[in-house]
Amino acid sequence: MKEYVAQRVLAMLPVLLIVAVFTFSLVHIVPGDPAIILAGDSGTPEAVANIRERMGLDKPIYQQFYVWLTNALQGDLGISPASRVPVADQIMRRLEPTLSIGVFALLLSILMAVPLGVLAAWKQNTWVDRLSMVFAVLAFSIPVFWLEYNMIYLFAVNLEWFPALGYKPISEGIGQWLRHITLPAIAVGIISAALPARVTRSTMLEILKEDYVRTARAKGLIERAVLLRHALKNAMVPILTMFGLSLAAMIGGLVISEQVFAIPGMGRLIVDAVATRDYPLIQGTLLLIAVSYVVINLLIDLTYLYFDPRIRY
Amino acid sequence: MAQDVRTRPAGRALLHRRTRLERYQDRAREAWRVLRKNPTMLLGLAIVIVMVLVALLAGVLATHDPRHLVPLDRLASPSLSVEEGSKGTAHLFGSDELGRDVFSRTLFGSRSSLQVGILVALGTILLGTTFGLISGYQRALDFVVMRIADGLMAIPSFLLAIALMTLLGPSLRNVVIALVISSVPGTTRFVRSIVLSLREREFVLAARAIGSGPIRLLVYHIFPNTIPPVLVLGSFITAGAILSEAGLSFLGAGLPPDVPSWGNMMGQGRTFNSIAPWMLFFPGLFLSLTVLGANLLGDGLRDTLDPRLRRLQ
Repeated sequence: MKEYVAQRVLAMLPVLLIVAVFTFSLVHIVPGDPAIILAGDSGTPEAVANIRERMGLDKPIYQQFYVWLTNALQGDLGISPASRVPVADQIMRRLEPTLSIGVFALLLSILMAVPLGVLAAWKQNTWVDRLSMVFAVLAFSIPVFWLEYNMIYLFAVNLEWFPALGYKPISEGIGQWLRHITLPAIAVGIISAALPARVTRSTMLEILKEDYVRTARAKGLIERAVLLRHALKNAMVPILTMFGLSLAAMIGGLVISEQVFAIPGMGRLIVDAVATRDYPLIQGTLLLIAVSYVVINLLIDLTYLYFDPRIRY
Repeated sequence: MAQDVRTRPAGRALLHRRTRLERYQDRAREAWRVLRKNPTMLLGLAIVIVMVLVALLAGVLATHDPRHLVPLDRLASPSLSVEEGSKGTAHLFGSDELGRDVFSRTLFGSRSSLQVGILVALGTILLGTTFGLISGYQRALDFVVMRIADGLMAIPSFLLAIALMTLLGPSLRNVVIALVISSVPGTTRFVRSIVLSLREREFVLAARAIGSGPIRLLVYHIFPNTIPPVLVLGSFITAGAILSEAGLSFLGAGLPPDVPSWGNMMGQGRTFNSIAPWMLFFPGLFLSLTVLGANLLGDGLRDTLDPRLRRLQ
């Protein structure tokens, strides 16, 4: 088991290295002097010289990469040219809204996808099954911002149940915080529930045909125990894998949603960085998100040990 | 000659060599039989055909010039009749903040969305299949190709596309390039997995036993068997690319703002959502329908071509 964990962690390292190389090369693909690009449109000659020295831009490219990477590993992601604020500080300030909505949306998508998928497989070829799959294919086909603007029009503008825009930090009261993150979390949750719901259904369909499920039923277990303890637990590996993969889509959804609801999170930070061509900020946010994505998927891999004890190395 | 004997029952059919026309008729009848058994696939196909027709005939169907500004008709609500005080014909889907007809713009918007969707699918399939075939068959290259794919896949594809658009600048060509780059790694991995399972199959071993070289094996024996699953993937890539283009344009990092694309229209309509929701609603509806059509078609193709592909979501 220890070897399995070690093996997975080691397998992650080359991936992270390639992500780092890609993020680093972003600035060097653009034609022009990287020091001037990193200093931004408003960069003074001193700022350019400062960056050139700090990043060793006169040195060979592999040395520059080494400097950039060791700085990044120590939490120094550079400084934004326009605002002169360290990238790491800007990211820290934007984490709370994004994490709030992200975690809430993930919970909602699990609560939608797993029961729907299980129900659809259990009642295969009935209207329950068809309706769930219509939901899944629809959720998979509509743009998240379109869903959100329709929700805003209905629930915020007309019914006035929720605020149309903005964010209140959790320190200003849980009620206000919840009211502000509910609409975006529901929308992102719906969009990210589509694929896991389909995978849950197809995996459950396969497992419900297994001999051990028939045995469980034959020995007189109540249906709920058959479905949840015998079937669903064995279906968890592909389902969790799908949730891990759909995190990528969820992150894309969050970036757009923060724009729709004017929420000052990581997504807004990225879009603003793109608009102002703030390369250190783009590099920093991309690197952080990619690393978290890889680490979360590693953690999901490790849960397989619990759901499928046959995985032993 | 041998082909004719293969499946035909003895008797008259053996004597009668089928003409080319008859063989096409057979194929059409077979296709219709499959479609009739699968109503959702038929629906998907119908939606896709209608959207292609809309794109081709936008000039004929449109009631207004999509770029024509009528300041008097600003933010007119959707109606079937001409409102008092306004000029020209009715605005079926209303008009935007510059008095342009939303219905006509929506029809013309199908052109950029379909172009992006189809070009991205073609480009991704071309590159993904090439890399996948090479990677699946050449162990030495496999390691390199797969590590690069892992690295690129660690960055959520929508973010990768945003980052690439920053470098490339807004244009249709660049949107296609950015979306192809962000979807090639997944396709490569998918084709590679098919190649890995095919290369151990008896017919490939047999071909190798009679002395076929690697190129011949790949081109004549393995490649044709990757076509059906890749075709299925193609319709999902088209659907995803149309959604991503809309997301990029919505954020202002996609097509140039003067192009009447669905994403641009929604991006411009968001400011007016509370007073003129039709500006955002109708392009989004058409977009969702198109994506839904492509997804339903993909689902149907998957079930028809190979039921074992159920996992391909």
